[in-house]
Amino acid sequence: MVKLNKWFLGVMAVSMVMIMGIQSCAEKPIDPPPAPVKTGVQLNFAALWEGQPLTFLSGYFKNNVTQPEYIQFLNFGMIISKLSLVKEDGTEVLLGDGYQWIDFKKGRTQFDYEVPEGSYKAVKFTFGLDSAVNHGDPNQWGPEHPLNGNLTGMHWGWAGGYIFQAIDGNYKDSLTGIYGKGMSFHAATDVMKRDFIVAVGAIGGSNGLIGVAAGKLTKVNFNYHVNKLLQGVELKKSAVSHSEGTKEAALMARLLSNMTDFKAFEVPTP
Amino acid sequence: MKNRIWLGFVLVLVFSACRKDPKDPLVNQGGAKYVPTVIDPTTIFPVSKFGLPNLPSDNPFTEEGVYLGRMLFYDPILSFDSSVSCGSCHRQQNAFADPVSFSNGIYGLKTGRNSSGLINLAYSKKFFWDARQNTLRDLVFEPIQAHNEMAMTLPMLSKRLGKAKRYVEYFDKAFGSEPNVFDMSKALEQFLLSIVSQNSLFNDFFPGRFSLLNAEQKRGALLFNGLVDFDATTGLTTGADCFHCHGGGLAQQNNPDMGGIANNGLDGSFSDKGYGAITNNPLDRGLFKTPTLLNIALTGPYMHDGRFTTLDQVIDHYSDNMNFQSPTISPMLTAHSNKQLLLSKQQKADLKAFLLTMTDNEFIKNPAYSDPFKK
Repeated sequence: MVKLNKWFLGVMAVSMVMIMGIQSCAEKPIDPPPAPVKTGVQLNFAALWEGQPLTFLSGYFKNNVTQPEYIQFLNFGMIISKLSLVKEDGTEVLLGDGYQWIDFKKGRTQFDYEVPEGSYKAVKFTFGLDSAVNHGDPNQWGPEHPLNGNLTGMHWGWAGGYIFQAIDGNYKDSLTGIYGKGMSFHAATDVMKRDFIVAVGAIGGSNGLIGVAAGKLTKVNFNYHVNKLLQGVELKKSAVSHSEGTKEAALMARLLSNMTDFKAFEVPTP
Repeated sequence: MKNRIWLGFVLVLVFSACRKDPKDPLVNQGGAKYVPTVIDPTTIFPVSKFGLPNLPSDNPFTEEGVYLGRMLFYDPILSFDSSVSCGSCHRQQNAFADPVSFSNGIYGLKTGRNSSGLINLAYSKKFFWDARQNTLRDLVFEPIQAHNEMAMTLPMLSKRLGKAKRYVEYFDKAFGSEPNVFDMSKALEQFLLSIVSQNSLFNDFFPGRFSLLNAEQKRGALLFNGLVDFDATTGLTTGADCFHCHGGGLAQQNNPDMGGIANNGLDGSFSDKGYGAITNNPLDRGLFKTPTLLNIALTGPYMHDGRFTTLDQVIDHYSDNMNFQSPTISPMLTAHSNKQLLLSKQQKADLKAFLLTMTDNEFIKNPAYSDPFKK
């Protein structure tokens, strides 16, 4: 019995040494991933149409205007800045460097941020960019930065400035029609910048708080109700705006007003 | 005591297994260290013009790696009958495109699509007309093995490279390895990534130094970068809206969803499904990768099937002959009431004059990209 124990211990010791030795040979990753956020929030952006997740290159979404239209989305990206959480006492905590590129089609919608523990009552952000950044050198940003135009395709090159939001797709007057007509809404230029503070809580419900506890990552949903953005817009009359020229600028301004008037953004209480 | 000796033996065995393999990149086969010369990417890429691209972290540029890639690119031994190299269908004088609609592979077999130009690839995330490859190191295996291009097998290629003295030396210098197809693909990746074109008049003009352009080029620039807007008096559009899909200093949209992969209204039905054949989504049929317009005067014939031989024909297509019944046509082209642009003769000439500013004459003579076997 004693002899067996000695053997057992010996084999165990040798096995452990071998495992340790072999593990030490393992290649170290060249670029170690960033350290996981320990205390903070995970922001999950979602594009919704009447509460249902927006899909791309599949399905049609009914635009409830006088004569309903049916939209198929091909692309939906947006650039925001000064992304922050607002504490109960009104002070603000910038999330990362505040810039973000959200691409709903690519699923670039989830972002982890380190923030101090506490209670937060709102998400604050600027739709678009301040003029200096908007017209600054787009090549100054790193290859993976949200403002790198080669990465996002959201920079308008020579005209100077970023596309704050790009929504492209097709629409049909009826679901039986074969060919769609083009739809393209590109929000850009300094005058289309907007500031938003979205109070925590369901639309029409009471206000809530985002609680961030030490050592925990609180998941926060940020819903973008796209049907509200397009509320009352008859595509057969105007399905395109690049934010320039009197008519197209007015149409874009209307869409941006819809964001506020119809509460297109929602941060439900986690 | 006996057990301790045994334990010590096992320990030595285990830790000696961690010793650097003789194929470690920093040790050549003679035992002396050979350290490849690492190249700072900021010396390759014009950061002030294009920014810094996102480069593969496991394949840093080295002088030896790029040179090895360049040799491989121009070496016909990569093809089965040693008659065709990558450079046969991607010619430097044509901005690494081929001046024929379909290129000639071994035994005169034709490629299925037009050979794309190879410039500023470091800024792209999708490769081939149908955007089926995401990395250049994966891409290179396709033409090498395609029956109608180089028709080579990888085991045969490994053997062939291993018998060539120049490759024994350069694989060792670049990667500390014997010739093998995996390091071959990394060397080719380094060379292809290093090909940069940035010295055209357009690149000096961009984003808006109009004083560098003559009157015709300036009018062309305004058309190129202007949104479609029909003047009530003349009926002419003041913009041709080329920049949505060919914008920026790279004259190319690199985000696939923002015009980087698109149907540009060539056909009403598709004999070549393009990107749709890759995704198997009918809504992707007829979509192809949008090429850069840099050096466009050198890269004809144009389109994925080389159907247009001149820039005039290309301009005529976008001006007069868009097929708005094409089922998957880009919304960027149809958003303006499905109306042909109908550019005037002068406008077409202006647009062409601007496109001709995109030729980089230094690039096509740059010895860093030339055939190293030609003296």
